[in-house]
Amino acid sequence: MAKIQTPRDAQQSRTIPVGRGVFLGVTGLTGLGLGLAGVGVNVGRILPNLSNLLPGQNINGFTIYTITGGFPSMKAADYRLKINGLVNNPKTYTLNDLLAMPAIEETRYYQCVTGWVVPRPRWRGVRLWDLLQAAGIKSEAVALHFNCFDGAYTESLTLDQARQPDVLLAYSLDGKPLAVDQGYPLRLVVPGMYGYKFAKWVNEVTVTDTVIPGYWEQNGYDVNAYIGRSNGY
Amino acid sequence: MSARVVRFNRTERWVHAVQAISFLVLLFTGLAISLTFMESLVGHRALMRQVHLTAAFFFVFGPGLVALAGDRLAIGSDIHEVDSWAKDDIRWLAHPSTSPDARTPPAGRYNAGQKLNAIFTVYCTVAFGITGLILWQNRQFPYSLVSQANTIHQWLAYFALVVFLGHLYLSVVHPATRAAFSGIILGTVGADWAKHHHPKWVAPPAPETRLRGNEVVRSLVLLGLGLECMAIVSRFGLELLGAVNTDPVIKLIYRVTGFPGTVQHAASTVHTWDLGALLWLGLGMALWYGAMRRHSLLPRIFPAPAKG
Repeated sequence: MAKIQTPRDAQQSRTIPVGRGVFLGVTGLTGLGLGLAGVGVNVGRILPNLSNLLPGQNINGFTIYTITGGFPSMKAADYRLKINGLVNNPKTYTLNDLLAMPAIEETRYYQCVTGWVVPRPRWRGVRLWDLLQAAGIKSEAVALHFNCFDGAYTESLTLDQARQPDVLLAYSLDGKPLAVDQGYPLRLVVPGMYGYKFAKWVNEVTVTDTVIPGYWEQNGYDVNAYIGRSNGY
Repeated sequence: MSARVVRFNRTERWVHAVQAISFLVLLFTGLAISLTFMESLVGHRALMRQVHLTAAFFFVFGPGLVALAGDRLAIGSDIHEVDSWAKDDIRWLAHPSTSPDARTPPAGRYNAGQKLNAIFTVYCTVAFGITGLILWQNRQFPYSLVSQANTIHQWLAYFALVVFLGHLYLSVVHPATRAAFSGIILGTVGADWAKHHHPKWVAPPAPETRLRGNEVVRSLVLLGLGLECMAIVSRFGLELLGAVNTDPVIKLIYRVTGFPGTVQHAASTVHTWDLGALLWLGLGMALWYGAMRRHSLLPRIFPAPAKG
């Protein structure tokens, strides 16, 4: 279908490769955005966390995770915390027992492995080591295994890690009782470790003679979860 | 009933379908693991994560593999059309219209808005793919980069959601443009509509040819081999990154690429170049290339552009 081209036709069919320019431009901008991380600029600190602006979001900056179908809830009156395993005196506490004990606060930043940080959460609770001392740890004990009443989540700490005075079982966040999605009534708090150690809905602490990896640790995360010393760095 | 013309051939429709379906799965699972109210309704984070990562594999590799398993030349000419802009396209952006009139700069097969949407889709594939890989393999990257990738991935997701809703509105709801919807589902649009909305597009005169059985078989073989090759390539990428193979998704990749002679990793961290897997990749690609060259491509409904 040979056809004589008029100058007007040539004008009409002349095209510019705009598409690749637009594509390379936006891809380059995104690469620049990622590259800014290398010079210490975090776009997340400049841009608000978008999901926090959406309705139904947690106001204190946490992204909420659950591994079962929803958030397990329990009435305060029904709740019991058990300390058992390799201890001389297994103990059971009600929530009121815990509230009556000396309270301590921790405000170290909370950091998730997937790249979000809560700068200053104010946890309030009881020192884990005090509860373990009251139960009397046997000499062959090495680690702790935490069970949660969602029926699925587990966590672990070595006794050396649990001995640190800032390790809490917290019942309060930012001056209020823990919300159901934040682990009401009791949550493990291990300042300096990644967020997956902060087991929610804890109702049993078992003292063990081996380290039993927790839920995410069986899915690839480090058992030793200190920020800066695990999970790659 | 007015005459109908073919706008998208079988390969183009499948490329679109693969990316559209994987996008919807990614959108649902992505929102399910990032919004509190969705998390409370859906939960099952580990499962959502696995589905999200599996859908991501198809979102990133699917369109290209379908294109190569089908009529790759048609996809090539689509890319060319989206890339090359006439002056009218640039003028169209200044006077965009869903109901073109005499003053609307005439569009070709795609108007400038559709071209921008296509470019955005390709951009999303790359940007979501890279930031998503950093988020998935977060232990292999500096935390500042993970944090940055998280922000970008999230912002881009909500932006893509808005673009997607606009795309859906124009193609399914808007009375002036919804006639295009049949083009991407069934292949054809009304000839009158095409002339009105895309006056510079020379629609192919012939209807699409019937699909033959051997073409289906060959396309499926090419697709299967292509997916397998991409799984082996992913295995190498993960080994290069030093990924931890206790992650269920990585376990799955190792299972589908664990042929005789490949390294069976017992340790939790893998960081070896696996010669066996490399040989399987070579064999897979040789078979794939052979299957592609051996037979003619799927019948092309667009005639090759006249040279000169």
